[in-house]
Amino acid sequence: MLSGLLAGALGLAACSSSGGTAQAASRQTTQRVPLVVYSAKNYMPGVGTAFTKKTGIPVELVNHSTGTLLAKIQAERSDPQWGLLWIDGAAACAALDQQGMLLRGFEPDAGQLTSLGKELVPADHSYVPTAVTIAGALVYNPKVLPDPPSSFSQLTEPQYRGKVGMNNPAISGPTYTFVAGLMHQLGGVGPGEAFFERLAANGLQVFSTNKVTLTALLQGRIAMAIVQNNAGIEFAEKYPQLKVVYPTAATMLPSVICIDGHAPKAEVAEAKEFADYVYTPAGQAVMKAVNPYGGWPIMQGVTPAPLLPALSSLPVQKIATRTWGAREASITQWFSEHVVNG
Amino acid sequence: MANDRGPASRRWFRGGGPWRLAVWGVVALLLVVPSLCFLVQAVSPRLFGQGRAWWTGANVAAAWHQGLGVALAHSVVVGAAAALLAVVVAGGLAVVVERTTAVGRGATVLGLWAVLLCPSYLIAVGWEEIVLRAGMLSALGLWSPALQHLVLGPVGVAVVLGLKGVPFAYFALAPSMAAVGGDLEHAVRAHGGRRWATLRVLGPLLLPAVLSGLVIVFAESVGDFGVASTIAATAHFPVATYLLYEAISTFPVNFGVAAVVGWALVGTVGAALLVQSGLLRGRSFAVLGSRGRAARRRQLGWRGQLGAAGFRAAFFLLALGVPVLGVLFSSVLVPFKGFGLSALTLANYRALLGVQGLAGPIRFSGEMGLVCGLATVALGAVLARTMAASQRGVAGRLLDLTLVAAVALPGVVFAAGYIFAYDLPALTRLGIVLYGTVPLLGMAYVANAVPQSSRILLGPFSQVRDSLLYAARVHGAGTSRAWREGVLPLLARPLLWAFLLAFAGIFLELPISELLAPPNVVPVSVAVLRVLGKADIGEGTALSVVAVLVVLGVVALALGLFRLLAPLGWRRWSEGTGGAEHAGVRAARRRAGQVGGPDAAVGAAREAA
Amino acid sequence: MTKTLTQRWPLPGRALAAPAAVADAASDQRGENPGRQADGAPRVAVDGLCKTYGAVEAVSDVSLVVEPGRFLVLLGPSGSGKSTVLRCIAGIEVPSGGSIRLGGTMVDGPGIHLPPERRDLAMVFQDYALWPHLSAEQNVAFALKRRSLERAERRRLAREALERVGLGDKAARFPGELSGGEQQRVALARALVARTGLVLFDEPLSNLDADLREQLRIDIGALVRDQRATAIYITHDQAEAFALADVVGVLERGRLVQFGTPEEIYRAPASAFVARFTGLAGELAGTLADVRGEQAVVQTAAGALTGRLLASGRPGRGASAEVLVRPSAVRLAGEGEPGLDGEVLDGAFRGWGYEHVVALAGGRLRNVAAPARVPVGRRVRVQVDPAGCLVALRPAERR
Repeated sequence: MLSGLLAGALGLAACSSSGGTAQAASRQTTQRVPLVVYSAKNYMPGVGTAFTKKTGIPVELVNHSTGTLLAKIQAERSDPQWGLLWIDGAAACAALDQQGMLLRGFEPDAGQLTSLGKELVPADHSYVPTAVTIAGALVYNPKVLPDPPSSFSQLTEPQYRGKVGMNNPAISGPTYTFVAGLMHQLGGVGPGEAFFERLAANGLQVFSTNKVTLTALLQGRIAMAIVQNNAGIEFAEKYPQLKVVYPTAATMLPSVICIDGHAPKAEVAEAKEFADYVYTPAGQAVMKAVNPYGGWPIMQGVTPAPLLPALSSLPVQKIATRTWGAREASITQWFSEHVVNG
Repeated sequence: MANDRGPASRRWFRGGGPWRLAVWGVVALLLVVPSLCFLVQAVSPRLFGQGRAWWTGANVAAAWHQGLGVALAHSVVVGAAAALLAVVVAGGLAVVVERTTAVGRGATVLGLWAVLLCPSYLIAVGWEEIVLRAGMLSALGLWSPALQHLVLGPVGVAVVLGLKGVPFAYFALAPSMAAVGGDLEHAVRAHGGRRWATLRVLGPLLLPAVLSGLVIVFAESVGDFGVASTIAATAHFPVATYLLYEAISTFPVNFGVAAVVGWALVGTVGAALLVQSGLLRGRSFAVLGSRGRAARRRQLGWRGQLGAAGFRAAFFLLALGVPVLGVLFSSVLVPFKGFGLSALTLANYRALLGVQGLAGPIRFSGEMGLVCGLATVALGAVLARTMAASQRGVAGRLLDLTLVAAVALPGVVFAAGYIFAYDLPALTRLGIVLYGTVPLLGMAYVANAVPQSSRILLGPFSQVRDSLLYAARVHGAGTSRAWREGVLPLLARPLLWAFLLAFAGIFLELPISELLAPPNVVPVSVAVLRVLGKADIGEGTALSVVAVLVVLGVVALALGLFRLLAPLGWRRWSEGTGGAEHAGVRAARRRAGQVGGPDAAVGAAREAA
Repeated sequence: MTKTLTQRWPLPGRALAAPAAVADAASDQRGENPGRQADGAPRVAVDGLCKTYGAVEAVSDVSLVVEPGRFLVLLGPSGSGKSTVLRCIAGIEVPSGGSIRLGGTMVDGPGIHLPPERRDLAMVFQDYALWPHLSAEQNVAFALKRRSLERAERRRLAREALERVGLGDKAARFPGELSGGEQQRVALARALVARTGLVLFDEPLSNLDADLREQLRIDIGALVRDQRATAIYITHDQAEAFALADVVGVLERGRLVQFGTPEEIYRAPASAFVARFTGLAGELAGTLADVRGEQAVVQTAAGALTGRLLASGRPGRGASAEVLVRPSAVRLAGEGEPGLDGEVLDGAFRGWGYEHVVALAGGRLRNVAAPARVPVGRRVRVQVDPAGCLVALRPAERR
């Protein structure tokens, strides 16, 4: 099924980008080094294959979870191996930027961003948003839990005692964005910490990652799971008994591409080309075909997959990437101490 | 009369300076340097560009703040409990297998290998599934909150780790259990000692073996991540390895804190080794080296047979039966449907068969498992031989410490350490391009597998009598032919098992595969993880079942080939009890029975030391 | 000690008969083969051999020569370094100093160490060292692999060697299916099959029962001489040594303290240590009363005894001395015969007669022979033959 979709998308991409092939051919003269892509997005290798087919640039793929990729990049600081990174979570890129590791001032020239998309672009252009997901969606079985909360702040109520499960923000990156968003909504770190302490007292269960939390839901150990929305949607597709809802406030988690500022010139050029390609209608079509749950598109004229509710209908908020990104280490550490092991 | 050929006489086959230098060089490149590169981050983040400070105590403080003290205390307590449990159970098994005529002794040893091959996380997940999966136990009328509480708590963690550690303890204990006894036992009995007195007198003789069993299970338990990330995490019972995992998973990645935890793990195991050598100091167990008849097996009546069978059945039920049942059930159960025949499905297995693109990864990991497994066994054998030959020396102790410490460090430490050690511009300038290549991945696989491998081979290698080698050389065989024809055939079976263990470990290895596989190279575990990224535990356990079946298939194939192809003489030493008992042990034991060849018991004592 | 050959004979004259016969045979051989043996038995020359392990000196400055075809036994207690010497010759140990020559080849020396497989020798080990995974025949045939022979020829020779040691019918057995004695015979066949010029024996009989030991010892002697190989054999059992050896080297704490024929060693031990190690009925302490040439008279508490003085030099009268008495020199005095007064502590039937332990003033003597049993507690007199007495000065009194 997957491969069929992929083949269709590739056909589509090939048709719609006949102009691009000539462009690629004209660049054949420049040296083609492999572009090393570190990707946590399920768009790869589909998008990469389509890109290589169009441009002739070979893509070498390292495909793991966001956490693993960031650990690898961090460990490889002495001699960075990556060229382009594609993950969920702008905060991580902002932090890499603050360490001076990213290429700044680059903006793809293909396509037109929506107004939301434009809002997601950082001032120093150190990363490129490609889509938007929601950091904390609520997954539950209506038969087991007839009255889900409409706002996360209700989770401390006695009726939800021992029923809530979420991921550990120290292990699952997107979960930090959820925690930060909730703190932001509640008025800051202080009130936020007080809330999570009450939540812990109300029997909050913390698991390591989306998959484990959702499995706990299946096992009946919890009645609702707070996970990243795309994981929740995929799960609900497999188990139709489950529902995915978006209590207030759902915090946006952009998918972003960033480029290694210290990569060889040829590779940087290729990485730019890759980002460009992602912004083209062809690239967007491949993305949607390969991973329909990947997120809400932020390019004008591109419609989201039918499974995704209209973004405008959701109580979504955006948080300041830099401010909250800088607090990540201290907040996750606090969370470990007081909520996970407290 | 053999005194004038004391330990020093082994020197010649231990090899001179160059040989030992080469062994240490390989150990340094594979294990020590990468581990140290990782561990040094604890105090000097700047060395590998991880921070501004050349020297800082901040990470220690941070780790402490994140609960290192508590987590470490948990690890130590659970590790010690697991070690005790493992040694007690293994002691019982060793008595049954080595000292009685209980039926199914060979099958027992095979079963122990199966426990060894079974990843700890699988045992843990199986147990979790059994006590957690809504309805499964209650449908059988067995569910109770107390049981759930017991399993999903410190007790559960310790028990699962202990069960998993039984094979290690067994391999440490069994040779001594077989060697201590005979005349010594008869002497106690002849002087009017009853069974308890026998135990009191002979017990201390077993002390070295008991201690070495305790230490190795302790190290395995403290360094375990499979149970830490499942039962311990579910039970909110933080242990040190989980803290390390958190520090590496969090963003920004905190290698410093992870390194502090790493030091704590190494320190803990080092302390355990110190206690061990302290307890053994000044005691002479040379009596083990005296001539003695092999212990006589106790004839079991039907009650004894029943008891022995019941004991072993209980162990295997807890260590393998229940978890395998849990994993199997969870892989065929439809969620939210309660428990019953209608709730069973093979959909998860069908889904797995539908997954495309696993053939390449399976082939790649299969090849890596084969090549690196062979390399692991070769190196493990050399290390085992080196340790067996120089256990009393400083170098031998250091090697022992290094390897035990390596057991206590989770694979992710090696993986990250390899990046620090081999992803350096300086190396590239020297023309050494190792990082990001398959050979480096292979090196890391070997480094990760070799401590266990050498530990398993230490026993058999300690028991090879040097005179077999001398005899070959004196009668005209060069070093390599002497080993090939005179010694290795005796060790064929332990070597085969060590290879299979390494193969299985490498085939399914995850953290190293993730961090060190070159771009576009996808080991099977990474491919599986990608497939499972969005799937639930049903598919996950189905996949685990398939993976373990694949490994078991390889094991069966290898054992079958061994049976078919190995010459009669190679096999006869391990077939008496029908199982995988160490060939060398048996050979040495027969010797001990007939002529009191001292090396058998000395070997046992050495292994234990 | 009492079960040894030489000590069984009640009379001094007969006691030395057996070694003397061996010595005669040996000198015959010497006459026949003054140089290198026809079939390549090498002369073994060890010169200044040293071996240290860390600070421990296991062997220091051992020099000896074994002529081609001769049978050397190195005799010494455990820890005396005899095994180390043998293993150095085999090439299993690397000497710390000195040199070893086999025939015309220096195999160990400054900067030289020939590995064992290139020394063309064979060895029998104390623990047999048979490979348990190979059949008896395969074990023996292993030693033939260095000779470039056809497989069938190897098998034939291996079978033949097994026949020679009396195991022709057990060629297909594995070592685990053979008794200890049979295993050592296989090991012997393995050592002889390749007809190497030098065969080494590392206490081959020490793990065997007494009767097996005797039989195999005789076979070893016969087969080795039949093969005309040079042989070096180590043991701590002087009876074994005297029975087998053309020449005996006695080692004490890493040093070669005496080297000579069995007769020389027995009759004229170089030191009290050698004397004790080659068999005594007892020792009696006293003071030196008189010295006449090689003979000395010692006044002991039990009476005056004459014996051969061990130490050279001129010891003064009144010096502390010890009389070392060979087993062959003591017997109970008959009615009216003179002797030392004592009391019987124990009596044992030995088949050829009786042996008693007799307490004297200031010591006791074992191996006191008598034709009939004397009850314990009976006062008796012991006759001591000066020919079997040795006088050793106490170390502190030596000048």
